[in-house]
Amino acid sequence: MADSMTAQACPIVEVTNVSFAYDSTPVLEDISLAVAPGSVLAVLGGNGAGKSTLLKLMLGLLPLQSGRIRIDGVDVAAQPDEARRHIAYIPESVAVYPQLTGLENLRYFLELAGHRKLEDARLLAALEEAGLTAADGRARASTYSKGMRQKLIVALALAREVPLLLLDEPASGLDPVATAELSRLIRRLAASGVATVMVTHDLIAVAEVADELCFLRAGRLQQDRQLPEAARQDVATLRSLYLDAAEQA
Amino acid sequence: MATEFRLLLRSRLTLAGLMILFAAAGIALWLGHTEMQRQHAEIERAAALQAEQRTHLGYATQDDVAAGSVGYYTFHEVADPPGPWSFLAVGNRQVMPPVQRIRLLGLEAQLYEGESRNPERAVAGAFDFAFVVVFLLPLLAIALAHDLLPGERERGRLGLLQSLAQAERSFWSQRLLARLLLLFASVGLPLIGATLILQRPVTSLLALLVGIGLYTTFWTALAGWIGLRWRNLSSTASAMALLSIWVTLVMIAPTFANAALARSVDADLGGEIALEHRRKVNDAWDLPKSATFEPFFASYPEWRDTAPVTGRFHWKWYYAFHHVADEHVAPKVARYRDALAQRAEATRMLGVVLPSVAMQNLFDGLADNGIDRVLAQRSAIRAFHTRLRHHFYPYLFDDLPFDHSAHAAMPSFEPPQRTPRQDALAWIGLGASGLLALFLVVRSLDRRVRRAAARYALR
Amino acid sequence: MTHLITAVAGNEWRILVRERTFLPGAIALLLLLLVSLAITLERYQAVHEKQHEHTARADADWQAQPDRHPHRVVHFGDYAFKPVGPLAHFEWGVEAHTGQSIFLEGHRQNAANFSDASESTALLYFGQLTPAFVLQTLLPLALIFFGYGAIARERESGLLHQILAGSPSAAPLLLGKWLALAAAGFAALLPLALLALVAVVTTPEHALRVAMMLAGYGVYVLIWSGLIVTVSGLARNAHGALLGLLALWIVLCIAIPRVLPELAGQRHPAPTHVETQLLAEAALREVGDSHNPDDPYFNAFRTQTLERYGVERVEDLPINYGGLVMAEGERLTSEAYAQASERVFGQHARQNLWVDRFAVVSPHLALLQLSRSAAGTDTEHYIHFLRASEARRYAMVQALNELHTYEIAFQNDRDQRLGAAAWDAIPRPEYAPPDARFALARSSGALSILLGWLLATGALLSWLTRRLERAHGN
Ligand SMILES: Nc1ncnc2c1ncn2[C@@H]1O[C@H](COP(=O)(O)OP(=O)(O)O)[C@@H](O)[C@H]1O
Ligand SMILES: [Mg+2]
Repeated sequence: MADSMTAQACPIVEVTNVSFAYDSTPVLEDISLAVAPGSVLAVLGGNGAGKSTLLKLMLGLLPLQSGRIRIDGVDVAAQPDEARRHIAYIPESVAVYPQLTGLENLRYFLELAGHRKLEDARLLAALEEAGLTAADGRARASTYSKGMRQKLIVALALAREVPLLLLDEPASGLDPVATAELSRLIRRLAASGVATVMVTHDLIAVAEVADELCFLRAGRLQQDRQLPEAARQDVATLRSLYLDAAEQA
Repeated sequence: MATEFRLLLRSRLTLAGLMILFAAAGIALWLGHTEMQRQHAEIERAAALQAEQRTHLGYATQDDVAAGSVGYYTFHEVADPPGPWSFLAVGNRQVMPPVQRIRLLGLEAQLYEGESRNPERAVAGAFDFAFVVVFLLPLLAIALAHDLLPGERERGRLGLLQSLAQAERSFWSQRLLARLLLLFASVGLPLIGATLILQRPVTSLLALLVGIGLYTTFWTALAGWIGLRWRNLSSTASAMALLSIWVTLVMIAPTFANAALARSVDADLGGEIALEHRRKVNDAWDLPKSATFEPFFASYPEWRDTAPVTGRFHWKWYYAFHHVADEHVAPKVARYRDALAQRAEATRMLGVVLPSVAMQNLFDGLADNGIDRVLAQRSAIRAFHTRLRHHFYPYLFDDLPFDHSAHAAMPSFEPPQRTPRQDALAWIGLGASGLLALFLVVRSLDRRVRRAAARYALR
Repeated sequence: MTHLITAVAGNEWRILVRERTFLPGAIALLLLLLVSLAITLERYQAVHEKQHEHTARADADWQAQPDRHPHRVVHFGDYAFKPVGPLAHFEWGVEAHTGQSIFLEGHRQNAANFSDASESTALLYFGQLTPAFVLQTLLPLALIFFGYGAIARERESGLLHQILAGSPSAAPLLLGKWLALAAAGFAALLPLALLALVAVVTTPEHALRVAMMLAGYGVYVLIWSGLIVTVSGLARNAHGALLGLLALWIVLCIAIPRVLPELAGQRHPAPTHVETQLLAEAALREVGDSHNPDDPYFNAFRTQTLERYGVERVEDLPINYGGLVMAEGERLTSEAYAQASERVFGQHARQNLWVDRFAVVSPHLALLQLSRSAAGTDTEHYIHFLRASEARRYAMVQALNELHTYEIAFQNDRDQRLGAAAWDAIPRPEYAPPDARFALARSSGALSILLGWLLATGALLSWLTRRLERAHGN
């Protein structure tokens, strides 16, 4: 389990004083956070809190209006393409090309990300690690369930071997078994030093994986909190934490 | 890039659309070719029938007939055989006669003989290769490219793609290029096939392919651009906007321009020419002979000193007043011709601003079935008629018998040469529109990269 | 039930009108209608003037003829004009390609006629901007833009399920949407209706034609609105509905109307004008040659004539034998040419019949036929005009030959002349377009095809109703 010490040492994600507004509607205000290698940060917030916006800012898909974001030392505003090279992003709704097989999808996405010709064995290994069989990989993606699609994107993230994983509502639409599998995977990655930021409104999903927790409310980030061990076992405690944060805001 | 093709071709709808375009191009080429074959056959049949009629007249073997009778009863067929590329764009060939008959009488009364085509077929417009390219190709370009970006967003893949793509610019341009190439191949391959089978010159083919390529580029880039530029646009809104542009460019603007042209360049002189010519000829019968011969000898002083006409009728008087009638309407004929040429010019100018018209004009220039060909054919007929008259005049005015050698020496009509005409204005129109659309696409991508303008693209 | 449908229709209408595409679409359509009407009116104004001018001039020329031999007048010729019917303002049909005038003279048929088509540049191949074109081709497109989402979008948003789950039947909803969309289409027909009203008031004999026309366009709008609602109900999403409808529009309104006449022309080829003439001339050679003194046919004719009058020599006939020969010659040539042109007309009719039969596959094609037939601007009407002109020409020439026979002496035939007053008696009837019954066969055939489509559309909608009801658990 990583601690906050390493986060200060050499963070993968460094968000400093970021504010953002769509037209004149402010969404994020003066957000700062940092995530160390091997650490899993969960950002909790209700619908419309600005969670996805925060991720898109990290990806450089939205223009930074004020503040600064660094990914693995790369300034996102200055070199968005370079920054994205270090990020695997798993969007809220995972969609792939139904006309292609799982493997073809994977290879295509990898090519887009600038990985030239990875051999099949490595792709199959990534699929397997993400929980898909080789047969799944050879089937058309049109036959995939939502869980399988997400695994495919997870496999993509694994194959890319990047230091940062961004997850947007990873548990939405997944059954508890799939959620548990995903959590295990994230932990495994964390153990190998991959940093993770997941944004969600789902308390249970957070409980098993997050090292750190913060709440996004009215555009502001409640200060980072270490997740009490007790809360891991007890949903009621979590809920009270969540509601606490809401009140403070 | 290979995956881009696979993505497109594995979509059943896309494949069906491309196959339909491919088939339509093939069918149009075949229809155009058979139509031209038919016109060749029509010309040959007419020539055979005409030869039969001449044999029946028997002048070729007689040595003592009056030149006037030969001139009166002998028709010369003047054909306008299709050119090597006529099968691409039927053009005015749909309404103009492939073969006409001319005799020694006044030309302007014979020149405008129409063709008895089924008018309902003519108003429907031809289904030729030009139609497939000008009308149908853009529709498929719209179908393939209108949801380039909106489609990815609506299917929820845009965020992932953008998080992966190293250079968005090359990513979207590759996607567009794949569509462009497939579209181009769907019409280009049948065209190349037809050219090879029919053994047409390759240089013209290459030029045409470049033109089609530019037109395809224009539509594909335009279709992609709409979604890239306005990133909130839904795919349905994009489709509607593009179809409105299509309707404007291929239906409303050209038809409106045609109406405007018909109004501003008054070419409605044909009827008047015919009427005046007829009256001039008829009046001559009742006028003193001098009323005919004065103007005639002014043009042809060399026959002034031949034997004067004293009787009620003489062939040389007859042909003289026919010619005088031709001369009488000559200024109107010139005005008529100029008006038509002016219309043709205006249409070429229009090609600079309307890519659809430019494409049609490019086809028209190569197929050479347009108004320019009609005018060229008419002046060739005029020249032939003059040669014919000049051949007859010695026999008429010196009262020589029209013997078999005179008959054999009668001129025959050669259709005017087709010189491949490159319509510079069409090239300007196609080039400019293609480049403009490309520029717009590139700029919308650049802006995205530079200023991350797609603020709201990922919802 | 009905009040429910009208309530739904009213609501749908409100939704439709607030649609983002509605206002620009409606304005564009209206502008196009107005522009095309203006173009038409101006064009026909010009045609009217030209016809007046030419008629006046032809009349004046005719009357101003000096004393002449009647045969000169045969060659003098005359013009016949096809007047522009009131509905032709709306539907040009084939007239841009045929022109509206024809020159008539002795011994010849269908001489030059000048049409816009032969004088047009490549632009003509894009079609013509007439009010009929706007309503036949662009109106369905506008309706597609207005209505593609009628059901598809509500399905996407889940609204459809919400509504259907709570109502006993899907029928009022579908009918309401159909009516609302059709109402938008009917609004676009208003200018046509106004024109029709004017036509009926000024020329009551056109009432039947006007009725056919209005019925055709009305049914056409209903068909398209129904198809749009159906496809919108079947498609998985709005995008699919839009693409499907656009494909349908392209096939029905753009491709089929061009391909079918082309194929018909290949199936039933018509000979060229020159070939027709040559064949007629060859046929004439078989019959007889009035210029040949030894011709058996005309020798027999002479013998008969002499027997009839009981004389020995043509010089002894009480009438001018030259005129009789002229008349007989004209009879023979006219017959031969008429047969030849009837063969051409026959091929054209066969082509059109072939296309008419296939109109079953496209309501657009059926409407084209109905519209042109009712407006009096289809091939059938044009051929009627050609036949009438030929009859007029023949009557004129034979009347002149009669003068030749009875008023000109056989001796010194060519040197005699008749006073100009004689020409006044020559029949020069103005062309009378056929009444509505003439158009009935073709237009009612087309109308029944349209009604068949309407029935099919209704059937589709009721099937869709059941399908939706099943899918949403009623
Ligand atoms: N493209 C956009 N344009 C305008 N407002 C937006 C856009 N995207 C999101 N918003 C608004 O910004 C707020 C935050 O959105 P988002 O980050 O998607 O929330 P969430 O926390 O649910 O992921 C919401 O109120 C949303 O309505
Ligand atoms: Mg979100």
